[in-house]
Amino acid sequence: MKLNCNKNELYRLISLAERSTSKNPTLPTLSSVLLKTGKNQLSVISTNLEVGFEGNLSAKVEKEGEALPPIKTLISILYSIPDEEITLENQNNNLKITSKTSTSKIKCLSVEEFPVIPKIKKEKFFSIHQDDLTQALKNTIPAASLTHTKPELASIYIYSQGKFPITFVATDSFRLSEHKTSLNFPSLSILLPQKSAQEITRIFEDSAGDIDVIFNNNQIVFQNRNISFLSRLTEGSFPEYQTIIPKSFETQVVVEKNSILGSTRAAGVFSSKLSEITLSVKAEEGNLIVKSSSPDTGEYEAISTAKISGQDVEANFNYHYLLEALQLISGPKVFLGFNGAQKAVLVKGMDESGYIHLVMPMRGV
Amino acid sequence: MTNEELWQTALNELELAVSKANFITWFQNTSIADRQDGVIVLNVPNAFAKEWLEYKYHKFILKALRNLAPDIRNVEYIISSELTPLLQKRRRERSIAPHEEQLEFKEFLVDRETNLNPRYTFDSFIVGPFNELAHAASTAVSKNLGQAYNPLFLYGGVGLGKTHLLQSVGNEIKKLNPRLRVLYTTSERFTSELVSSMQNNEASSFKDKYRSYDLLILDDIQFVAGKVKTQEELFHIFNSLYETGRQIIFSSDKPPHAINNLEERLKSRFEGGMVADIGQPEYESRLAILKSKVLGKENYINQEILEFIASSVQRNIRELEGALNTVVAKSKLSGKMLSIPEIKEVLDKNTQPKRIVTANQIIKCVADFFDVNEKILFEKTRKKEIVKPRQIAMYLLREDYNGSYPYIGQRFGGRDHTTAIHAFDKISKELKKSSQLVEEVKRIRELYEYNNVN
Repeated sequence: MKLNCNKNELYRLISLAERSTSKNPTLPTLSSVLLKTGKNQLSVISTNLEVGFEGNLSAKVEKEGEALPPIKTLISILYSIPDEEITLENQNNNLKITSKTSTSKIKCLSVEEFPVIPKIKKEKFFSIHQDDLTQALKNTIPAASLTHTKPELASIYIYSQGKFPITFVATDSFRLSEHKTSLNFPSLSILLPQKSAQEITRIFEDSAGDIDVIFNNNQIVFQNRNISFLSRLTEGSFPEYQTIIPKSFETQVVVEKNSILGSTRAAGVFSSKLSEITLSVKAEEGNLIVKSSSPDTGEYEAISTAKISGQDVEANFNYHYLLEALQLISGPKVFLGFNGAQKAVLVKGMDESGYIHLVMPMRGV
Repeated sequence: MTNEELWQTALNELELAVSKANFITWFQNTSIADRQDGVIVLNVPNAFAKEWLEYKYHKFILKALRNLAPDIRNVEYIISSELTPLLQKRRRERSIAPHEEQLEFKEFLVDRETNLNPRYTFDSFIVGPFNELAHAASTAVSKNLGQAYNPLFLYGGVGLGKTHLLQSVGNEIKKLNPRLRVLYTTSERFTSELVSSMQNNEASSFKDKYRSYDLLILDDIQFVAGKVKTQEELFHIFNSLYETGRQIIFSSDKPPHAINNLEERLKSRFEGGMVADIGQPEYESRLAILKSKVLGKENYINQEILEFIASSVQRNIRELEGALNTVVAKSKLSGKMLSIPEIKEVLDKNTQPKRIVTANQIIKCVADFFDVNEKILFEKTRKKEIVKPRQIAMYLLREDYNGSYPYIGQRFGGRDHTTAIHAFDKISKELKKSSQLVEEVKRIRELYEYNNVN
C-alpha cells in the first residue's frame, strides 16, 4: 500500500472511527483501525462488534493494499504532524507515515484478524435529510434510559404505520419525548440503541445532504457518500405509549421560553438532594411561579407572566428533566399542559407540531 | 448425543484450533438452534459473528461436527440474541436510580397481553376483618378457576383494594399456569373497544377475542350502566364463558342490585356466583397496612407516627399511602424525623378534609334520594314513605353533623327532643338488621361526600 492524502481529513475520520472501537485488551484487533485503499480513496474502518464505522476520503493511491494499526497510536502521531500532506506506506509489518518534517513507523496487526463488517441488502430503506435526522435524535436521546435492565427503554424507537409519519420516541418511564418527522414509510418498527443514536448525531453533524437508512431485523446502516455507520438493533418491543399522551388539559400555560428556562435553571441551584423544584400556576393573576428551597442552601422564587387558561395547579418536578425538555424547544414560546399535580405535564414549543415532551411530576411534599 | 453435547464437544475441538481471544470473541454464546436432515442451524450472538463464522471458520466448524456426527452435511447460522460477551461485561448500572418520589408512567409496568400489573399480588395484600371475605373468595377462585365461585363479584368504595385483589387473582393464575389466557380490563375500555370494533367492521373478532379467555376480569363494571349495546355484548360473552366453565370476575363500587340502569338479566347473573364486599378498614388494619409500607423508610418513621397517621386518615387506603409518602418525603427534605404536631400540619394540608357538611345538605340529600319534597319532611305527617326519610335524616344529622337532639327536633317542625332520640335509636337498630338500609344510608352519604352538594 502506498498513498498520499490530506492529514487533517484523515485525522477527522480516525477520531470518529475511534469512538467505534473497543477497549478490550484481549482483542487488539478491535482497538485497531483498518486502512484500505479503493479507487482514488482511502477507507477507514473500525468496529467493536456492536457498531461498525466506515469512512472514505479521497487519496492519491500509488499502490493498493491494507494495514491495521492500533488506533490510539495512529491518532497521537497524526495529531503531532504539523504538515498538511502525508504519505502512508506499508513496510513489512509496519505502517510508515511520512510528512515534510517527520517520519514514523507504526507496528501493525495482521489484517486477516480484522472482522468483516456485515453488509445489509438494500431492501428496506428510506432517505432522510441530515438536519432532520440529527434533530429527531437530539430531541429524543435525552429521554432515553441509561440502564441496561430494560434495553427497549435504552433505545430510540423509530416507527411508522400507514398514514402516520416516521416518528422517533424515547422514554425512561419518567419522561417521554416524541418527534414526528414529515417523512412517510409504509410500516417500520426499529429500536436503535441510545449509544448508537448519540454516535450518529456526532458523525453526521457536519455533513450536508441526505442520509440513507437501510435496515433489516437485526441491524441498521446510516450512510451518505463518505461515511457509513452500522449498528445492531435492540430486540424487544417498545411500550404502548400513545395512551399516555394527554389529549386535554386542566391547565394550559403559554410562557416565554427564555424566562422559564432561566428560572428553572436558577431554581435548580437551590433544589434539594431530590433535584426537586416546584411549578405553580396562578390562573387569575396570570403568573407562572418557579420556586425551590433546600434546608442547606437556601431558596429561590421567580414569577413569569404567562397566558393561562384553566385552573390553578402546583406540581413538583425533577429540574434536570424539566430543563432538558425546555432546552430542546426551538421557538421563543413554550406551551405547558397540566392535568393536576400527579399527572404528566406536556411541554412543547408553541409553534412546533412535531416535537413534544412529557415529564412526570414528583410526589408532592 | 443431544445437540448441546454435540456442540460442546465440537467447541472443545475448535478451541484448540483457534487462538483464545478469537475463540472467546466468536464462539462464546453460540448454540445449536436446530438439527434437521443433516443441516445444523447455529445460534450466533450478532451479525459480526455470523459473517466471521461463515467466512473464516465454516470449514473448521463443519469438520469438527462431521467428526462427531458423519451425517451432517451443512451448517447455517442465524442471529438470535442481542447480547455479545463484550456487552455483558458492560452491564452495570451507570445512572443512579431516580428517587422514589419521582413518579413514573404507570402504564409501562403493565403486561401488554393481560393488562395485569405485576406489582399486585396476594403477598402484598393485607387482610383484615374488612376485606377477609373478598380475599378468601379471591384466593379460592385462583385455586379453583371457574369452579369455586363463578362469577365472583367484588364491591366496595374507592381506594380500598378492589383492583389489587382482582389483579392478584390474574397474576396468581398466570404464575401457576402461564398458558392460560387472562385478561384484565375496565368496563370503560371494554366499551371503547367494542365501539371501535363496530366502526371498523371487526365486531366478530371482538367477540372471538373475549370468548377465548380462561379468566376475564372486568373492573368498575358500574360504568356499563345505561350502555345498552355494551350490556348486550357483555351478556353474550358472559354466557359463552360461563357455559364453558371459564372464570369471570367483576368489581364495582356498589352491589349488583344497587347499580341503576343495569338490565335485570345481567344483575341476576352478577349475583349468581359469589358477591363479596370490601368495607372500610378499621384502625388495626390501617396500622398493619402502614407497617407493610414502611420498609426502607424506617429512619423517618416510628410506631407513634404510624399510629397517628392510621388514626387520622380513616376512609381510604390510597389516601393512607399518600399520607405516609408525604410524611416521609417531608422528613427527608428536612433531614429529621417529624414531630406529631408537624405531621398533623402536613396531613391537614394534603388529605381530603374531613366531612364538612351542613344540616341543610344532609336534609336535601335525603329528600333527593327518596325523591320527596324537602318541606314534606318537616310536616306533621305519619305517612310511612315520609317517616322513614325523616328518621334517616335525623339519624344522619346526629351521626355526621353532631347535632344535639333538641336541635334536631327543632329543625323538623318543632318536634320534641325525644322524637329525635327515638328516630336515632330506631335507625341504629334497623341498620344492624337490614342490609338494604345500610346500603341506602351509604349511598346517601356518598351523595353529600363525593358530589359536594351545594
